[in-house]
This record gives sequence, C-alpha cells and structure tokens, in this order.
Amino acid sequence: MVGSLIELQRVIKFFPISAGGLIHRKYKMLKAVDGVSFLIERGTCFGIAGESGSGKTTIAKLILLMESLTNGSILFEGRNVHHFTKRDIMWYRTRVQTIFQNAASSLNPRMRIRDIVSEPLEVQPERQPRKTIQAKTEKMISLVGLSLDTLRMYPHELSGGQKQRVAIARAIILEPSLVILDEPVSALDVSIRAQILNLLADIQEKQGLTYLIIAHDLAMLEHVTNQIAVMYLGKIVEMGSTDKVFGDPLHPYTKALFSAVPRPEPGRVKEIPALSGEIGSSLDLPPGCRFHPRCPVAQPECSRLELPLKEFGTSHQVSCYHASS
Amino acid sequence: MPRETLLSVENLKTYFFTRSGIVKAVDDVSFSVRQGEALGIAGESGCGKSITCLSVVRLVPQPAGRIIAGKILFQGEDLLRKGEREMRHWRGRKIAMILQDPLTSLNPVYTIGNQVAESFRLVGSNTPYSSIMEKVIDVLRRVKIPSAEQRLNNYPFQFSGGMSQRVLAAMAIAQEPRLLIADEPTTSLDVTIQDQFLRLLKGMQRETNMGLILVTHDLGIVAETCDRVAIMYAGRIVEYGNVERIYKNPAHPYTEALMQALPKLGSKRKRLFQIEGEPPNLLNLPPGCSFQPRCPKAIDICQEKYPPVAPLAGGGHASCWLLKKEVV
Repeated sequence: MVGSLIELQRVIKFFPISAGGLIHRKYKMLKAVDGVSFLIERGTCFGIAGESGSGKTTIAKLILLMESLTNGSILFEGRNVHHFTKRDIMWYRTRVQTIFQNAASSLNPRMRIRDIVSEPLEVQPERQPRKTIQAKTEKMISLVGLSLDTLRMYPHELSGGQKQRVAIARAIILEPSLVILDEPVSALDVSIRAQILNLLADIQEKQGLTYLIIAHDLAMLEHVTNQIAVMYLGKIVEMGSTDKVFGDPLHPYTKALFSAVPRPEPGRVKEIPALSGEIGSSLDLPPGCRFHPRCPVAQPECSRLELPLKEFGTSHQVSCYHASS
Repeated sequence: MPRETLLSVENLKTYFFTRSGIVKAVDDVSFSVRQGEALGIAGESGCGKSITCLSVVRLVPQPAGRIIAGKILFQGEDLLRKGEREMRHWRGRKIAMILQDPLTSLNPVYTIGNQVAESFRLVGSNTPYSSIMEKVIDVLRRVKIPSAEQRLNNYPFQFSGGMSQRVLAAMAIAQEPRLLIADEPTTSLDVTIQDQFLRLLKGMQRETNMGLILVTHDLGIVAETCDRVAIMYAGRIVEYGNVERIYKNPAHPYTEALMQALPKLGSKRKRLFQIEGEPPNLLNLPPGCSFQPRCPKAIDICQEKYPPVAPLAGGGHASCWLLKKEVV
C-alpha cells in the first residue's frame, strides 16, 4: 500500500528552562522543535540531517511518545496520535520501534541475547505460545546475520557491530511499520558501517519497513534515504527528494554543510570558505532567519523576516530569500 | 628550506602485559615525519594508532604497557634513551599533543587564562604575571578566539566544544613545538566546526612549519589535511605512503576495501562494498597476516607468515604477499 505512514503537522516542542526567581519561578522557552511538518511515505527512508542542537533527536522522541507535544499534531496512518487511548498507545508502540545510537548501552548487560530479543513479544498483553516466540527469535537473529549460538550469550561477549545487530533484531521482532534510527552507525568502525547499512537495506526490502534515519553523516544519508530534511535550530531549512537536495542544494546552510564534510578525495578545493561562528542557542534565537548570523549571503531583510518553506520545483522546498541554483 | 626529518620511528613495539596475555598494541611500526609535513595515522578502533602516539611522547599507560623495542629519533636524538626528567622538558616544548575530548582535557575549576598560562609558566622562568597574560592573549588570538581579553576570565563550561578545542590548540602551540600530535581532535565536533578547526590547524602548521601527526578514523579528514598517511590494522602499519597515491591506487587489500566501503557524497544510492567479519582481538590474532581472515584476495601463504614490507613504485610501502609475488 502506498501512501503516507506518518505525518507531522507544524509540530512544536518547547522546553521550559528555569531562569531564576525564587518564589515566582521564571521560565525561558527552549525552542527545540519549532513548527516542523513533513510526511513519510510507506516503504521509504526519510532522513533528517543537522548538527547537534538542531532538534533532530527531539523529533524522534516526539514520534516515540517519549516527549509530549507543545503544539501541532502527529498523524499515524491518518489517526491523530494525540487522541490515542491507552490501548491505542500500546498498539502504536508495537508499530513504531527504535534503534538507539549506542547499542552497547541500550542492551541490558544481565540479560541473555535470547531474552533481549524476545522481550518485546513477552510483554504483549496477548502472549504468544513459547514455541512461537522461540521460533520468531531464532528467525530474527539469523535475519540480522548472527549465528544461533549468539542467543546464549550476554551483551559483553559481543562486539560493537554484533550488538548493533542484536538491537536491530529486537526492534523488528514485532514487525513494526516504522523504525526510527538515531545515528545508527556513528559509533561503529568504518569496516562495520557498510555491513550494518547493507543489512538495514536488506531488512527494509524483506519486511517492507519504513525508516526514519537521523544522522549528521551526510554521505551516509545520501546513500540510504529517499527523502531528506536538513534542520537548523529547530526548523527545517531545506527538504526534498535526496537526489534534488544533494544534487542541487539551495539553502546556504545546506551548501555550507555539504562543503564542510571531509571527502576522501585528496587535493579537493573547497568551494566555500568555512562557515563562521557556531550554531546558536535554541534559548536565545536570533530574530528573522535563524541562520542569518552565520550566513555568507545574508541581507538586511534576513534579520527581520522568517521565511516559511517555499517550493522550488517538484519535491524540493527551501526557506531562504536568496535560494538560487 | 629543505624538509629535514623531524621524527623518525623505527621498528617500534609497544606491548601490554595483561593477565590474559600479551597484547601487541603496536608491533613493528616505522614511520617518519618531516618538518612542515602532516602525517595521518588512520585505522579502526583498537588498531594501535593512539598507543603509537603515546609511545612517541613516552606516555604509555604504566605498568602494563611497555615499549619493548625500537627507536624514536626526534631531531636525531633517541627519545627512548631519555630519562623521565628529560622527557618532561621535551613534552610541551618540542612535542605537543591535542587529545580527543576537549571538555575532559580542561580543568573545570580554573579559568581558561590560567590554564593556558600554565604552558608558559612551565618554562620555570620568573616572567611577571602581566607579561604572561599578554602572551596568553596573543596565543588565544592566534587560534582565533574572538574577544580573547574577556574570554580569558571564563571557565571551561562557558566555552563550546569547538572553542574548548581551540583553547587546547592554544596550549599546545604556546611553546612553539616542532611537532604537534593531534589524536582524533575533531571527533566530538560538528561538521562545520570540524571544518573550522581543521583549517585552523593547517594554517598554524603552515605558519610555523611544524610537523603534524593527525590520528583519525576518518579517511576524508586525512585526504584533506595530510601529505602522507599510515594505514594501521591490528597493531601494524599495513600501508604507508603519499595521500594522493594511496587514495587513487591503494596497494593493500585492506586499504582498498576501506576506500570502497566508504559512503561518498555524490555517489548514487547503491549497495556498499562490505568488508566481512570484524577486526581481530589483539589477544588472539589470526596466524599469518592479521587481515587474512577478512581479505577477499587471500592466498595460502597469507595464513602461514606475516608478509614482509614491500616497497612501492611511487614511494611508500605495504605489507602484503600479493605485492611480494609481483616483485618475484
């Protein structure tokens, strides 16, 4: 079935940060995610790129219902997640799974791999017979390319790449429709990364999964995603099909980001000088376009007005006055 | 100005004697760094790149780790023959180091100015406070910290990751060392900040003509900052040579596989080449060549003996039996 699986509509998440005041507490708002909308189609891979502090992990937490929305809505298969009953939420959590950045610390060191992988099935209200659970666990562990012997082991007996495979097996055992991957390979060595990325692609094909990948590694994102959104300080500055965004980046931030990525091509002359300054604070946002203090082509009007995303051709949106190809 | 050899490491062996056995963290490693040259040491975690650097400054964790053989010639003098007192004189002044995590390298309870001043006070001279502070401001300006005079009185928590790394760079270059060792200096930084820092590092190197050893796992960083590169695998250098040559025409199967396994910007969505298996455990190395169990091109002899070093046509060398065969 083709169509949207999950849709974010003007999603806003502010965190109140205490700013003094003894009896009457004063708060400042940390605008982690500020009006983000996107749609992920079934069976595709959507990527979110951005530097630390851009709000990409907060989006993952919002979708996983680990944080509550300040405003906006999340639609899963056309239903508003906000209106879910307890039962619906239980169901939703079997449909949406996640693989965390650091697999090593997300596995319980006192549990055997068998128990870690089968746990999502064990905790379901309608428990399946033990034989079925066992069969499924074994199927999953071989699907991620580990031997059945692994099931007897504890996490400390496995290498980083193997732990990542276990985390993947655990995430897909419930046959979810959406898997959120937050920096899935950044903790792994180069020679292992390719293995895991290929494995993820294989599983996606076999199980018809939809992926949301959050990462700062642009080369990796170009390889695995169909659609990509580039975030800066809580907002999407550019979004579109991966071919369009990588082939013809329009936003000055996207351009600078691409140019800053070190490439294994000796003698490459960087097109753009290094971006000056650092990513600002989400507590103290600059007026107008959030990127203007660092933007090489900023004009006076950039500090006054904030632009919404604007269409540039089909499936390519940019929020910048001076976007030009 | 002729580029004379600054540091030359010959057949260095640093082993760790642990309860479960001997870990050959650095095994028979040789390389050299010339003045004004940047050498990259690249490899996966646990391949011995950091221990190689710590061996150069004689800071291998004691008592488990020991340098058991080899020579480390710095400006012609063997550092392995120096006593601890003498080494202290060399560290910081002639050879400086920048470590991976800037936030843990700075002391949280002292101001930035105080910590940078320490690198000047080490000299032991009776320089007055005011002139030390002038030097501190000067060196902070050289690493492009904006409004250095005010930032001097800030504490590390008031500095971002990128700015802290600049402070560490300032401490490292304070004494104008001839050799700077940077161990994964940008791993904890964002790409745009990493770009800024690497450009700064390169600029400082050009300005002072110092030698630079850059340890990293990112082959992109090596390509953009280094002149030569040593690729390490399981404690040994498997390939060594010019950056251009190695990237265009890798000689060792491991180097070749690494280059292919890397997702590159601008290449279309397709299956990545993958290296099967995992890096070996240093306590339990496979027989013969350490890469042999994962090597797509392995032949019989690879399982029997570690390959000797084979010199390559365009300079540099690699350790692989396949190269030896072609020569024979």
